[in-house]
Amino acid sequence: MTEPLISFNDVDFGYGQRTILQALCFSVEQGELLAIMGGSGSGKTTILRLIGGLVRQQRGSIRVRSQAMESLNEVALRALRRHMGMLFQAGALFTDLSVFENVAFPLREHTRLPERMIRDLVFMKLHAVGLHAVGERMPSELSGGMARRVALARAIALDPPILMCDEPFAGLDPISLGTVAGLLRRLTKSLGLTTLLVTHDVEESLAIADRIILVGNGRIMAVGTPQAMRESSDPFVRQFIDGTEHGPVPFHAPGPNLGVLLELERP
Amino acid sequence: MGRFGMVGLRSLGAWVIGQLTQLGRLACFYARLSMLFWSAFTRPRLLLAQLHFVGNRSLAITLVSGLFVGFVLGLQGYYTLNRYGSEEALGLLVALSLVRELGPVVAALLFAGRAGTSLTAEVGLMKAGEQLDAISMMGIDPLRRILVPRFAASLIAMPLLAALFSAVGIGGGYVVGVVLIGVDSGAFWAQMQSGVDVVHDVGSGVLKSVVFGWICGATALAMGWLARPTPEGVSQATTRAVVASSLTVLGADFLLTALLFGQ
Repeated sequence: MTEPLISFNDVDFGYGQRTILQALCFSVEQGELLAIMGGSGSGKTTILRLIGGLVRQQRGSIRVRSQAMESLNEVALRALRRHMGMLFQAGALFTDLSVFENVAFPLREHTRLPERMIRDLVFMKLHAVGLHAVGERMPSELSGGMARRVALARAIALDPPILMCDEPFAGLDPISLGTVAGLLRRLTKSLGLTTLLVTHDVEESLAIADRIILVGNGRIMAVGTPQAMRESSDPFVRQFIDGTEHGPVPFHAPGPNLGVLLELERP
Repeated sequence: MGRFGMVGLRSLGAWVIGQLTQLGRLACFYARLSMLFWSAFTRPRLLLAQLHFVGNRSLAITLVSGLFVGFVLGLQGYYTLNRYGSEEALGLLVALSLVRELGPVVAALLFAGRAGTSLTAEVGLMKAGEQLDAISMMGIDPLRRILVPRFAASLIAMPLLAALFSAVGIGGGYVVGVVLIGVDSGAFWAQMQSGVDVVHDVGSGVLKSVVFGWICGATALAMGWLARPTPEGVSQATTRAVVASSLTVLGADFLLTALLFGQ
C-alpha cells in the first residue's frame, strides 16, 4: 500500500491558550481534489498553513511527500515548498509588481528560462484564469475576484504537484466561479495534481471535489464523497449543506448572552 | 507573599521573559542579516534597485540639510573664531566638524527618518498582506530575497550619503565664510588641507557611517519583519524604527568617538 501524499496524525495546534485544531487525523491521496469546509474560524486555513510549514503543530505528526514536517530544517522545508503552490485568501499579490511580473516571479526565481519562454508561460497561465489581457495592470487596479484569479495563475506558474487554495471562489462572479472551479478540476485530473480547497462554497465543492472534509470545533466532523455528503443524515453535515441557522453549529460566537451584555439579565 | 504580590511577580516574570525573547529574536535576526550580507552581490539588479530606492531618494534631503548645516557652521564658527582672531581656521573647523561628527550622525538621522521608515513600512505591509508568506510558500527565503538587498543597500548608501553631506556642508561653510563674510579663501582651504588627516579624520567618519548604515538598515528591517501584521502594528513599528535607530546611532557615535579619538 502506498503512503498518502499528505497525512495528519493526531495533530494539535493552537495560538497561545486558544486551541484551533485537536487530534486531527486525515490523509490526502495523490491526484485527489479535496475540499475542506467548515464554519468561520474552524481552522481550515490553519490546515493549509500547517501543510506549507508556515506554522508548526504543537503535537502529532504531519507527513508531506513522505517527509515529516516537524523534522525539516529551513533548507529542506524550502525544497519541499517548491512542490507546492498556494493561493492565499487575499491573493497576497506583490503590490509593486504588475500582474505579469507577479506570475513571472516564481519562474524567474526558480528557473533560468529565456525571457521569451517566461513570457509565453505567463500568458498561458493568465489565459487559463481569463486575464491574459490585464498583464500590464497593477494589483491595485484589479477587483478582489480578479486579484484572486491572478494569484491562482501565480500559484500554478510552476505546475506544482500540490496545489492549495484558500477561498478560491470568494468574490468571483458566477461565470468566473464556474470557470475557475472547472479549471481546478481540470488541472487536478489532467496534470495529476493534488488539490486542497478551503472554501465555503457548498455547491461548487460538491460539484468538483472528490472528497469533502467538514471541520468544526477543531476536529473533523465528517468525511466523504460529495454524494455521501448530499445523502448524509448527520445533523452537522445537514446544517452545513442546507445552510440553516439552527443546528449543532451555533450562528453566534460562544460567550455571554446579548441580554447579559445589555445588562437586562444576570450572568 | 499575598495573592496580589504573586500576581505582580508573575506579571513581572512574564514581562522579563517577553523582553528577553524579543531581544533574542532581534539578535538572531541581526546575525542572519549580517551573515547574508555578501549574498546581496549575487543579485546585482536587486541591489541596484534598492540602492536607488534608499540612496537616490534620500539624496535631496541629505544635500539640502548638509548645505544648511554648512551655512550655520560657517556663521557660528566665524563668530567664535573671530573672538580669538583666528578666522583663517574656519575651513578646518567646518571640515573637522562635518567629517568627524555631523556628516555621519546627521546623515544617519536623516536616513533613519527618510529611508528607514520606508523600509519598515514596506516590509511590515508585505507581512500584513501575506506577501512574505507567499514568497516563503514559493520555496524562496524572504530574508535573502527581500531584506538582504535592502540591508546591503543601506550599508553601501550610508557612507556615500554622509560623504556628500560633508562635501556640501563644506561648500556651505565656504559660501558663508568666504563669499559672504570675506574670510581669506586660500587660508580656508589651506588650513583644511593641513589639518584634516585622511586616515584619522576622514577614515573615522567613513567607519562611523558604515556602522550607522548597519544600525539604521538592520533596525528598520527588523521592526518591519517583527511588526504585528495589522495597520496599527505597522504604524507602531515605523515609529519604533525611527526612535530606536536614532537613539542607537547617537549612543554608538559616543562609543565610537571615545574609541577612535580617546587617548
